[in-house]
Amino acid sequence: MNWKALLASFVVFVTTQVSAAELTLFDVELRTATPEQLHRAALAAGARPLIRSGGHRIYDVTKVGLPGARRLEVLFDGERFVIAAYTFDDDSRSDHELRRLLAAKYGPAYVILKDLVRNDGQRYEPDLTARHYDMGDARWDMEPPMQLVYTQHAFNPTKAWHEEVRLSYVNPIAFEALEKRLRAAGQQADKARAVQLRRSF
Amino acid sequence: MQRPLYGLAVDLTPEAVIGPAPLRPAPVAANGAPTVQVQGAPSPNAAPAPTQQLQGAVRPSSARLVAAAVAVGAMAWTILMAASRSDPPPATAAQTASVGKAVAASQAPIPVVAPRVAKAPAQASKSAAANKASAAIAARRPADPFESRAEPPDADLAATLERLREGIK
Repeated sequence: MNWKALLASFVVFVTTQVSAAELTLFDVELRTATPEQLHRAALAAGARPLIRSGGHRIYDVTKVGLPGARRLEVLFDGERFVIAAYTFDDDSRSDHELRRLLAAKYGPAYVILKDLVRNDGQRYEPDLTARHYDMGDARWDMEPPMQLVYTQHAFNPTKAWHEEVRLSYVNPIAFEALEKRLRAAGQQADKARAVQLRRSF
Repeated sequence: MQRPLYGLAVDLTPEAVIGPAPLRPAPVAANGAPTVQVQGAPSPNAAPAPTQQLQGAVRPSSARLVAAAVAVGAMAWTILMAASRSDPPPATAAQTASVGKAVAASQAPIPVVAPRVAKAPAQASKSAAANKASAAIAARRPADPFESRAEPPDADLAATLERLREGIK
């Protein structure tokens, strides 16, 4: 085995180890977290609860210390963690600081290129530490199935440019399962209602 | 009077040069009797001939007099108005005390009295009857499905998921 193959094996090993890290928030492992565990940890970190509706909670996190962080939304499906998402202020300086901190803690991220002609699905490693960043959604693959996603282009109609910066801790499998279940329930309710109103339209 | 001028007889009388003299009232003597006057030779005790003037015109001296009177009147009026608008004299101790009492009374809390809305018995019975009638109509009316089930269940959760999807798409 020559030195190139040895180096490639080492890189693969290191990458695997980094990507296999547990995704945590307030020192709670999100993959196995319960709503009460995360709630207590958030309160201990300085988050202030604002709204609660079922498994959906919103906190004011301006005192947590994360640069520019304003709100934190947490969603559980029963006792299963689905997603936690920070939203941030429109401040380029704090955004730059946040990206540098993300790169320092989680290492290099990747961006999935969405050029439909040539680069669809290909990955690109952006420089998150650049002062001006506009490279799409940066992702880190953590202990499966957890993912960390940083985006500057989350749609929000209440913002000046209809976009905001978010940092999402997500279990994609749980998220898609909840979406699918809700969609099916909505379609079923629509069918029942259409039967109820069949004479009206 | 006619004098020869270069051999021509020229009439140099005032009537010939200037024209006929204007009509003048007959001069009256101090005793009121009309004096006999020979044209061209006024008598020494006759009044001076009045100057010719347009009817209704004011003599310059009279105009100046009127203007001066108007100016003096305007000044007097201005002074009077200014004097009436000037600050009143300093209030006496009694006046100050009475003003203080009035201010204190105006700043005192106004007692709130609950408005008395007294319904006439006939009116009250009428509204009660109307309420009963509307309740009966509502009871007979079938439940409105748009009010009870306007959206599918978990609509809020679906909207939340849709919003959160924007951060991970």
